[in-house]
Amino acid sequence: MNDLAMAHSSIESKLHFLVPDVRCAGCCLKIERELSDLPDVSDVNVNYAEKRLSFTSVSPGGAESALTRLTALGYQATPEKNRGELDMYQDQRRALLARLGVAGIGMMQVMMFALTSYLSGSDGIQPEYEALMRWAAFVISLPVVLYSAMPFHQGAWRDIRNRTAGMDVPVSIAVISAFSLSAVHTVLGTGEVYFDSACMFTFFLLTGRYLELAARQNFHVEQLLGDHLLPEVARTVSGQMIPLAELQVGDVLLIKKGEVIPADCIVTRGTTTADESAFTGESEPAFKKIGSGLLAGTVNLDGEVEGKVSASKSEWVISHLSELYRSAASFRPAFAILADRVARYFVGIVLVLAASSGVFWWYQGADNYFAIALAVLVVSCPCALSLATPIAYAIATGASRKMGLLISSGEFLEKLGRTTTVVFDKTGTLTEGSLKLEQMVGLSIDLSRQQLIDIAASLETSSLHPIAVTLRELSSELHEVGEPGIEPGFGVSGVVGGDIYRLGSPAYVLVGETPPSEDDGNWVLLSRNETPLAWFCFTDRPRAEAGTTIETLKQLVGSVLVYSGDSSENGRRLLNALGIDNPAMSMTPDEKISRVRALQASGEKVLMVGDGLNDAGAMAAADISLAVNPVDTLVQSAADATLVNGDLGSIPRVLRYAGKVRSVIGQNLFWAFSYNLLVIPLAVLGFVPPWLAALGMSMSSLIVTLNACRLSRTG
Amino acid sequence: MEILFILVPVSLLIVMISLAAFVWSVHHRQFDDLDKEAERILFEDEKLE
Repeated sequence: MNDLAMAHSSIESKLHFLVPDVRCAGCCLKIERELSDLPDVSDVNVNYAEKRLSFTSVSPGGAESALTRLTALGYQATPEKNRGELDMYQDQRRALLARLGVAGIGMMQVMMFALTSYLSGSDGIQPEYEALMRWAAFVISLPVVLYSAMPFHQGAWRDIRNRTAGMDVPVSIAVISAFSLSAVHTVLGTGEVYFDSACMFTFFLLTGRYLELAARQNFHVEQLLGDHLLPEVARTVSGQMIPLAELQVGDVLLIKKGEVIPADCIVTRGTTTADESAFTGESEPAFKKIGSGLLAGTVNLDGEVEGKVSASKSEWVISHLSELYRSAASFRPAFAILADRVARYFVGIVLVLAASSGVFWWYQGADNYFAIALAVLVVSCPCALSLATPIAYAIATGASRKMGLLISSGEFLEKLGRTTTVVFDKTGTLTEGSLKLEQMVGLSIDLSRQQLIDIAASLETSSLHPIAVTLRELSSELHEVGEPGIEPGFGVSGVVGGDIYRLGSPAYVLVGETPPSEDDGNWVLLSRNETPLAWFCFTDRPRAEAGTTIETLKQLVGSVLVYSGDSSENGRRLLNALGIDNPAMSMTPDEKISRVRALQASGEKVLMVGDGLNDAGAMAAADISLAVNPVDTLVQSAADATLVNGDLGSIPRVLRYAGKVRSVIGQNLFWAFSYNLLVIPLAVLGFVPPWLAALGMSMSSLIVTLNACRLSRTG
Repeated sequence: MEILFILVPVSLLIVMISLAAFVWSVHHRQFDDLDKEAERILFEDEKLE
């Protein structure tokens, strides 16, 4: 903890920590009150929105006593890394809020002065009073135009210097020209004034910018919290503390009760429950036993466990999450890029159009030629067009996480909405994947039941297949295995004590052998040196929500298929009971791939849902893929999205949500396009006064942003 | 109605003061965390002595 060390060296220092556990404003107040009582700490402040604690340590040891008190209260604090980013957002937000407030107050005041001449009727007000009102409006517009609208002027200036035409150019030109012309008319005491339009335009545009920044900031805070979930070091079983960056796959870690799990690992000893709410949105703690996966950054709640690190740091779910957040913020789907390109040309066209319609009406002798040019300029600004998609995507990615969905490919939501066929894997996806050893038939007299299980479990040591997990749980001791081999979907092999053992389906172990009984279940054969040793029969239960999920999916997308590697009659019956009439059984991974390709060739858009290595190929072949509770990081990195909470019931929800995202983006683009196409001709013809133009243009940006904000509700 | 020539400038002065006050308060973090302040009243101040 470098911050602690720093606190010791200087007498008085300002310290910042992130406290991810803060759940409500009440927590903030409690922490503030408790820490303020400490003698060596002052200026305690907890920001709820950012879950950020800051205080001044007035004497050496202040930080330590504050953190001790905080831990006693049940909160964990981590020193803030890369503070600059958050500070930058904070500063931006404050600056924008100040500008927005000034524009809002200014707009209301200017409107009151403008109202006097609007309401004065045909006789008009006396010229000296009208001049007074104009001067007053001029004075109030000054801070709005020079202070509030400054970001637009700066942006426009930057664009002009770079010889591009951004969105800020027409905005800035409109505000400045409306203001300067009105100022000239005020001084001369002739013509029209447009102070009210200039102020209103600025205010509404700033509102849109503010909402956009707030959405981005929320996004960023969540991402930063993700980065801060991890501890600095991990403890190995031998008691050694290793920095996270130096952890190797296969290191065995000891994780004590209440600690943050430092790495993605597989439990090798002990049982516990883990709080995975930060990842899955599921508040119910997840039960963990031998073979279960632990996620880095989640909290070990009530037992001491040992876990073997299962992937390198960059492959951890939490690293994917941070990466995803970074890329989602900058992800632009194809049509957003198109909209942007259109918007760029649009700006140039708008400028030309505004200028030429002004010139035309001036040539025609119309008094209000400037008002018309101004209206055209303002009304046609394509802000809404360029906002329509990015804001919707940013909000949708954040919201999906609340449904337990981790999206790693930007196109996932876009493509999900067009899915016509859903293909499921059976074991581990539709079923719970935790198998029960139902029956065991020994064919050898020299080995006991337990010895056979131990040998089988040893062969499966490196496998994450449900059978392996069950066998490991039943085993009493594991043997050293030489030359381990694994054939996904078929079985495993290895050398124990000089003998070659194979374990798996009969087709893999010894062709021609048949299970000893017709009983339901998944029969697996163990052989030594090509002699059959024992049959194991495993049974599996379907997930509670599998039936209803399939039912709902059939209604939503039409076609639901199952490709299973399982060959048992039991498996087929189980699937029939779930509503799958014609499951494809005994499929090898290659067959799954070719069947998926065949579906695509017939025009279907395929979503492949799987969990294991034997599905990875088919998942890559499908249009989009979803991994459910993947036990293997390879499967997860191959999938376009991962359902971390393992709740199949989320799939229909996610599908509906994807539809909603698509329709919101569609509405946004439709609105933005049709608004511009409809209103520009009216403005050119002189039917739109500048104030109405300002209102319409800003409202269309605002509507697009607010429409996208609807996506934050996932229900 | 000549009074307007005094009242309007006075009101402008007040607006300018309030604008300055608003900008000052934003930059002094008065608007950073509105949730917490809104709920403060619901919690007992235990430091009564």
